[in-house]
Amino acid sequence: MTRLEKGELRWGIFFILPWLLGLIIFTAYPIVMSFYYSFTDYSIVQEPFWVGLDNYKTLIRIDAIFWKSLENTFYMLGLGLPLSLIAGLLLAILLNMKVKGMAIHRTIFYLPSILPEVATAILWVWLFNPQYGLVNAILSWFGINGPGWLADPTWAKPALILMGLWGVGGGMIIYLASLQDVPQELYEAAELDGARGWQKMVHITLPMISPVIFFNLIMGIIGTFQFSVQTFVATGGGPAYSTMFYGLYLYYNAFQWWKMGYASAMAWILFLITLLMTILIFKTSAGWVYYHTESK
Amino acid sequence: MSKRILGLVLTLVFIISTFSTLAYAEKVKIVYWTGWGGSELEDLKKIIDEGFNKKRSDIEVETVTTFGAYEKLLAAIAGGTPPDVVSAVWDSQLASLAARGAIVPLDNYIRKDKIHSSDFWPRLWQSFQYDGKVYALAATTNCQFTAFNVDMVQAAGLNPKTPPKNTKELYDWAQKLTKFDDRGNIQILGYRPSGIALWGRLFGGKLYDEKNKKITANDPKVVEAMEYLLSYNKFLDPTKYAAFTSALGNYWSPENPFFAGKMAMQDYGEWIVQFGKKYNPKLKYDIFPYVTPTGIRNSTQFGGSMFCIPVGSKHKDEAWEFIKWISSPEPMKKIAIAFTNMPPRIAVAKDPEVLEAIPVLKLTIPLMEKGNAFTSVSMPVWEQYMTELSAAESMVINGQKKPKEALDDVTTRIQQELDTFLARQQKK
Repeated sequence: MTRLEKGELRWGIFFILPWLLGLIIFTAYPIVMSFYYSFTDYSIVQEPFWVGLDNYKTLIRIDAIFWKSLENTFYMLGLGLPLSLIAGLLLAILLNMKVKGMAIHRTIFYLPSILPEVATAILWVWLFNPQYGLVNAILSWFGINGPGWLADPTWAKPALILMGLWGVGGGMIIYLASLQDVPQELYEAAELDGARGWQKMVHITLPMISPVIFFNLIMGIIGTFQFSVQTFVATGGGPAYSTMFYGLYLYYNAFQWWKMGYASAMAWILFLITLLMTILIFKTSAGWVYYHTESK
Repeated sequence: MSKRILGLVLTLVFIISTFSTLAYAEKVKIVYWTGWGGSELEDLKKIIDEGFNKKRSDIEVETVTTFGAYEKLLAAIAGGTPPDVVSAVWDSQLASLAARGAIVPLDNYIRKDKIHSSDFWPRLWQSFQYDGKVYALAATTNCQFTAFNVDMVQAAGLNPKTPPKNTKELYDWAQKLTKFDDRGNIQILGYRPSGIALWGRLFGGKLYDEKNKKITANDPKVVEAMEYLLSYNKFLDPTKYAAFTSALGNYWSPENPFFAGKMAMQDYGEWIVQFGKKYNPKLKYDIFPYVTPTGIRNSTQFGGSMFCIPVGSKHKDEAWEFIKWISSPEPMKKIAIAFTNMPPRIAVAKDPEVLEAIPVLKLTIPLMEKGNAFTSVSMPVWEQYMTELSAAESMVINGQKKPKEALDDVTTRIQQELDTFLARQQKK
């Protein structure tokens, strides 16, 4: 390196030093420590006590609630995530039409996703109240006797999915951006060949925006696994463990049951599962994700 | 010349400021985290200010509220900056903290300052202890019972002078007092017993065998209690019940369901006197002890805030002085009257002024003195145990598990947790 390069390097590091220190102290160090804690019994008020693989063994072999929380989380993954991906996409297609006042429509649909999570959770608890809430009131206009929603073990998770769908505006904006990126010539060429609406969708739109679908899928998986703020406020894990999600169970273990070591083990298992799923999706992505910038 | 004057002035300022900090350094400042909030917090601060801060020249107490933020204490202890005194600890949480060495035993202080355990309610004094050591004192306690709305009871054709004597009569009253609308939704709730930890005890069972360190959630009497809780499903559909209760006002607010006329009966402690005065002075209520299957009504569940000293406190002696003061007769009496709670000291509880301010003590003092007075389970994995029990109750009420099965599962899981905890404590 020349003297100039060395000087510039030094200044560069100096400028990013605050951020770098923050990253090391507040992110890297806790991550490393949590890995260590996952092999200990750590109640926070006492020193960590080495227990080797006991936490992992107990989680996988004995802890029924661990498996229930995974089951609940995969339910959200299997039902909630596809619904939110499809809803976001449909919404984006609708909002891509050239209609007057579209900017206002887009803003309205985007707003819910930036509201504070706790406030929207409390709002929806009231909307879903089986006796006084608006949801069942509206259903009753159509003669439908609404279910117990958050008070009923069978309907609590669907209620939470609906709650999450209200915030689909965030993903929608990204879809919108990518939809507008699809070259018009492709549509025109397809119309010349006699393609109809549905065929245009499947053969042009979807492939061209597949990178964004891919991105939203990965982010959605990571987000769903960590889903717990709304549940903590709305149901606390009930009724009858039907909304005890992985993130929530982890929280209880760490901060209410004096088992930070156990919770750390849960965190690392979560990391492993998320990593495996992400790798799997990346590996299969070559089959359906099309980066139109690659073929020039 | 001007430089010299400047130098002199600066030196003078320096000297004066040094002396003034020395003067302040004489008073030791201690921090007290309390669980009380709202108007009770204001009353408490006033009592502490007038009775302790102004009267003592060596210690000053700063009262901070931590309304429902138990995790704050954890973080503070872990971070090495705990408060010097904390009372946001319930009797049931004492064991968890003591077993993990988070709070300081007070036996030496008690011996040194000659605090007599016989001055306090015997069972309450027991609840201050874990593993034979005293870890807390209390300035207040509460005994619980069931209260009913006299007008509603009369309107339903029942006799307010003869409240339910046993579980069968309670069921009967609850059913007659519940009103539905034409869509089958609950308009007014008569009563629904809840809390298997409480009702298991009322049915004569025990949730924890302390001597043998055995979890006994599947004790036959506890299973019986669970069946009783389940039986209310016959007229209270669980979903409709959950819908109704989730829309009720906060218990600790002017929208309190009992005082707002949404419930005909509800459980309370001595604080009902204060609630009545504040939230609905016109509501006529009366009280009766918890019912049991046998018809013997001498049971009560008691408990309250425990004043403890976290291990990391840097002013333990001063913290003790504060705890000693607040659990002494005079402040205890003032707090009891302000909050309408039961005083932990027997003599203070029987003081005519206290009895006049809190009429319900006429019912609760005999229960505490001679009756079947118990406190909630106190053991090191209590928090997880209670979460499991309430989930089990929820599963039973929602028809997902049978009572015995649900309680068996809880017993197995929590026994395993407790065994693991105790085994590891040995090795530490």
